[in-house]
Amino acid sequence: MADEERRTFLKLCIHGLGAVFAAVLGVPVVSYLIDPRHRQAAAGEMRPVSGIRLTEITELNRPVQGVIRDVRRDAWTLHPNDVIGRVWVVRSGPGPRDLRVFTTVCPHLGCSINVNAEPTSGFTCPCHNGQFLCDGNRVRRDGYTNPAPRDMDSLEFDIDPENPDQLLVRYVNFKQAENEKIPRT
Amino acid sequence: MFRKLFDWIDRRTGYRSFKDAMLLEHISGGARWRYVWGSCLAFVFILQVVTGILLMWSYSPGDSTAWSSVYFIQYEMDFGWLIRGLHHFGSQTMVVLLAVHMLQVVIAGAHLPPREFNWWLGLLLMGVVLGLSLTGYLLPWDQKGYFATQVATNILGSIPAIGTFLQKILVGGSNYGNHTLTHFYTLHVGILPPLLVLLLVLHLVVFRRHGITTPPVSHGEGVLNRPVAVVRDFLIGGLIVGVCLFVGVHIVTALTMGGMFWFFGISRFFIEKREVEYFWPGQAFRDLVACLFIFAIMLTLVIWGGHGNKIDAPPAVDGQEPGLYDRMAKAGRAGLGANLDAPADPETENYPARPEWYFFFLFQLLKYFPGDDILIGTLFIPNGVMLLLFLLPLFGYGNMRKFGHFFGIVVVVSLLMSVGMLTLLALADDSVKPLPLGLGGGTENAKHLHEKFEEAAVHAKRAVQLASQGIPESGARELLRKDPYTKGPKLFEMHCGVCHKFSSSPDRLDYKGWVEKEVTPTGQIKRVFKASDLSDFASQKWIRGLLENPGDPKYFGLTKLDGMKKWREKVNEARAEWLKDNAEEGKRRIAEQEEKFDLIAKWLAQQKLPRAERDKQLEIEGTKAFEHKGFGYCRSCHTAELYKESKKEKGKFDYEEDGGSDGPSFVGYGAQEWIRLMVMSPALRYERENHMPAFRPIDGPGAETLRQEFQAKFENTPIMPLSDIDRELIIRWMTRDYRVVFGGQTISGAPK
Ligand code: HEM
Ligand code: FES
Repeated sequence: MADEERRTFLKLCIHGLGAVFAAVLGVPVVSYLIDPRHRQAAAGEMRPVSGIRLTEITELNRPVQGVIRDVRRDAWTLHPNDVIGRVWVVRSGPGPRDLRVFTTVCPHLGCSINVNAEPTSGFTCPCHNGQFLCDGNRVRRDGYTNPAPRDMDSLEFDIDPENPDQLLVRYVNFKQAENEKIPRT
Repeated sequence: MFRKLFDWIDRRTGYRSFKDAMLLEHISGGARWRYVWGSCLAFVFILQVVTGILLMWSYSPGDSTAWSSVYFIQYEMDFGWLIRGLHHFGSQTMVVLLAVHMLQVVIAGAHLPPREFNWWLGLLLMGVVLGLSLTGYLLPWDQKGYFATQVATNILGSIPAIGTFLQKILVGGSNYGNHTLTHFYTLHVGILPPLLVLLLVLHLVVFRRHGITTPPVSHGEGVLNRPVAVVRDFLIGGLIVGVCLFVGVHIVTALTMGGMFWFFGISRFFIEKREVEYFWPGQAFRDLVACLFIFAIMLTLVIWGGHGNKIDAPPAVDGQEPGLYDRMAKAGRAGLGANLDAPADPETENYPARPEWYFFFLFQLLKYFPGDDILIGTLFIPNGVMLLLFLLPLFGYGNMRKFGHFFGIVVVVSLLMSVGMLTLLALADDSVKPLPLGLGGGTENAKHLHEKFEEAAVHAKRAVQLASQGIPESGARELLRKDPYTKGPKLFEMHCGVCHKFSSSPDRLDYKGWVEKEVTPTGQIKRVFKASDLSDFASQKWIRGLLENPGDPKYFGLTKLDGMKKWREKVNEARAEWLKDNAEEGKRRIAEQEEKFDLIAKWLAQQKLPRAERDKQLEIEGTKAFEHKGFGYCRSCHTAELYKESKKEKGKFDYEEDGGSDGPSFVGYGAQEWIRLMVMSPALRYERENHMPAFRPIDGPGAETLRQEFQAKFENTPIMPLSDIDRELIIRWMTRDYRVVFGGQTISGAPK
């Protein structure tokens, strides 16, 4: 074999073997790095809301906050009873089901929305001053730009048939900075 | 197009001349296989950096998180087992390669002048690699790392004058804990690796200055010697395979290791020898092939040589069989990869600590220097040897050179042989079977130790099994501390076993039961049973046996409970009457009664289940038999949940609690709630006949109130302390509910 040919052959071998090695190591490495794709958001089941008694919420348009607890898995840790979310509950009429339930998570970039000093006037998000009315709609007025891309995220709810005090909510986290409500996966 | 781009880059960076400087190293005498070892070491180090950084991506140093995060890598993350396995076996590979590299260097005489600095840098590199191995071994924060590493830090502490201080600084206090981990972690990933890189760069720069050390006759191994070399390579390969198989290495690993040399042999026909050659590509090719062989060995070790623990029945995702990708990605669950021992727990009694195998020789050395001589084994010999190694190049000056070369070989070979011998002796000491050649082993101590190893293995298996169901916030250590399966029998023995027996049964594999009367070393009799045997309590068999002979020591024979004994006497008397009246008819009635007793036992045994899970037909028939006067008339003394047809609505069955109150209630008999009440308020079950103390928590807020209320009601029942958690552990173990007891700690603040 001529020297040049031999050297070319060896270089070819080196690159070939190197590629095989890169693949054998690369596939597991990439799989490992993108492993969090398996970790699913908690399923949006109907869960009881604690911290409020429905029959005591009588005043219209005065938001009350409730919490939702459940098992939460954080990588290896199992929290048997953790707060997985908070909701604002607002009465909108006299009937038992005349309620509005919103997540406290701001649709803009996810801060938690607070109720105004004068509760009946609605909500304000402390981060970038997103303002909402008691029905969850964005405040629109001249000279003020609302950073929120959509109204507050309302949630599906129900009342425990055996306990008129117990509110049940299908709690879902929605993606921020979208015009539509898109559940997080 | 690309050419132009690279030209542009080159004009600005000069990368080509840098590349040439790197690759066009001049190798006089041509490329050789024997020069590959240094490159292999560098290769494995880079692999360690890559896998190590990947581990850092998911690892969390901290007393309550370290083990859990490693568990998560090993068992839950895609290919985490492979990444961790490569890192684990990579460290062992590096240590082995170090030995080979060192041996090759002294054989070539490459440590002699003018290459002293190279040798010294190499020794420092060796120290750093051993330091990485030592600090890394602790990081999983499992029992073996935790207890073995204490030995190392205690050695540090044994240094006269400054040892105690140094130990305290390194450990971050007088005990192992959070800062031990953060310190070791920082050393392992932030200090030692950069130090290693620095030393490695210097090592290579100095090496380039003097070039590779060629064998004295550098032109010989041309065409003439080729067959000899090939035969030699094949023999070495065969020898390695043989030795590996002999000591029990997996065949794939053995063949890969031996195959490396066979490959060297075959390659001699294809790769021609040049007299003068550059590193690129001749030597680079050989280096790469050798590195890939090493990588293959590491892979086979991870896959076939691993010693992980299996997790039973991985939860099926949507009821589907996992596909090939999932099975490979999660192979850690099948037991592949590196071992993870049970979470570190300072409460453990007598953990059999052993270092990683490549430190066995140091470990063994300590056994020969007891008491005041300890420093000889920990300090003087190891440091003496290091000093000798440091001095080796100095024996190569002037006309000493020949002697220096020879002396170097002698020192390193005898060092490696002593290391091997000490390792063998350490293994022999721990071996249950006596080893040949009078190496030792087979002693009583070794057997005792082996039991400890087995117990540790049971705990390790159990820990990962429990972890797969979720780890409490307080950390993985709680898994075993609150595991009914392993802790339950111990607590039972301590609290209940004073009076109750608990015979073993076939499905309680790790549990052997107790000897009836155990004589302690001081001659006292520890245990005299005074109550029933609670093994399989409330099972059909247990109840049936009780009905047969309540006076048996297995049941109420040892107690002062007479109700059932009297009941059985009456049954026997009645039977004698029947037989006297009419033998035929009497036999029939007895047989019928026996049958009903079977039925009652079966019915009573299902009372521990929730109503919905009980066999409804059995409920109906059991209720009838329970109430029937001719079959023992249980209801005269006991209350039960009776399942009867409604009087108003035909065909509609309903539950009703009814019966006498002279004997214990059968409502939920044998269920956890039933046992809980029995343990906390036995007098509620057996009234004045009761002789069992009440086991209740006696500290924590509210406990004193409960104690006074209890004492006001049952003044004759003494109270024995038993915490809520311990009680639940015992109850879960008895009822074969092996879930970890989460939460329920006593409420308290920091101690005042
Ligand atoms: C050359 C050197 C190295 C050696 C000899 C070494 C050795 C070790 C050892 C023996 C362990 C315990 C592994 C086990 O039992 O599973 C370990 C763990 C670890 N190493 Fe290294 N290591 C090296 C380099 C590195 C580097 C460069 C990094 C990161 C930059 C790193 C990061 C880690 C981490 C995060 C762990 C803990 C995770 C685990 O144990 O699974 N290592 N190392
Ligand atoms: S996050 Fe609420 S306004 Fe920006």
